[in-house]
Amino acid sequence: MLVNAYSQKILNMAYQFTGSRAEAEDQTQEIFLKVFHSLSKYDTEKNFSAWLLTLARNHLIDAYRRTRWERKNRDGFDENLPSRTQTADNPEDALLRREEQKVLWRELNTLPADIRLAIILKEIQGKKYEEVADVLGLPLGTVKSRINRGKLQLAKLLRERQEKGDDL
Amino acid sequence: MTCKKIEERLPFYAENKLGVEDRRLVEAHLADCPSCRRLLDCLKRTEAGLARFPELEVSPALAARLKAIPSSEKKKARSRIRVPFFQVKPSLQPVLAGAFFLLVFTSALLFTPAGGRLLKSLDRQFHLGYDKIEKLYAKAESLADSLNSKKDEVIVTLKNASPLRRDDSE
Repeated sequence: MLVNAYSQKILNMAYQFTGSRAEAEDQTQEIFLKVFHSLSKYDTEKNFSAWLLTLARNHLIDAYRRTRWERKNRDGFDENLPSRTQTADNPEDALLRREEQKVLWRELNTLPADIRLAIILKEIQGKKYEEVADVLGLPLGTVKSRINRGKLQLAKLLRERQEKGDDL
Repeated sequence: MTCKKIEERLPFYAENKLGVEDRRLVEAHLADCPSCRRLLDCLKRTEAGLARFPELEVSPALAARLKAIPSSEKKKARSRIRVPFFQVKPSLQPVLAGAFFLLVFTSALLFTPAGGRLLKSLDRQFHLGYDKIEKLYAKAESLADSLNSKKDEVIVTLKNASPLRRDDSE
């Protein structure tokens, strides 16, 4: 069923984009509502997952322009328990990675919406550049450039904190 | 090569997607630039950190809301179907039926040859009746005029013939 197959993917895309579980759940519901009304327009020869993600992306960007979530705070990183297993070799490394993730989670909000979405699809959801370009409806070169710009911006923030002697 | 140009190449370098020449240039720069080396390290940690981001589970409440969408939307669509207002108000049905038959009758009169003939004969009968009324009205007027002209004579005759007049002469 559609909900079983795709709800977690859409919920996480919305959560990583908005940073708020409550907001992500509302947006997920609205996205599925749009899916229900747009299913008749779906071209069965096209990739359904890409079509669904494009619809979700359009909805999130539209809603973002209307409400400007970045003015609100993101949920705390620890508020929602991670389901992915941590592969740290020792507790010290685990703590360091956790602190870095907190910074990355918070700083995702500093990225422009289109770059943030590209990073979410490529780096967090593990899609290929071509798939991201397909979902965003942009040329491959533009997508690569956006993702690299976003990653560099986040990496520079980590480096700044490191150089300032933060607890990273 | 400047740090800025190296920075642009670092993501591709980290993904091992640089050409031989660019790769050699980046490695030569990194050997002499601790800041860019730190950036490369942070870039790799950024990628690793993002890849291990927490993933939410769909709560049972949200799953229930999502699964309810098709049935609730179908209900809404059904309620949006427009029902004719005489179906909503049965008391109006006789009025609408009367109006319907009147409309049919009027249409038959106006738009059929038999209706046209009937209308013409009604029109003729109406004008004939109107003429008769006009003639009667004219006769009544002339009668009224002649009565008026005779009125004085009648009054005089009546006065002469009255017993009071005879008493006076006596």
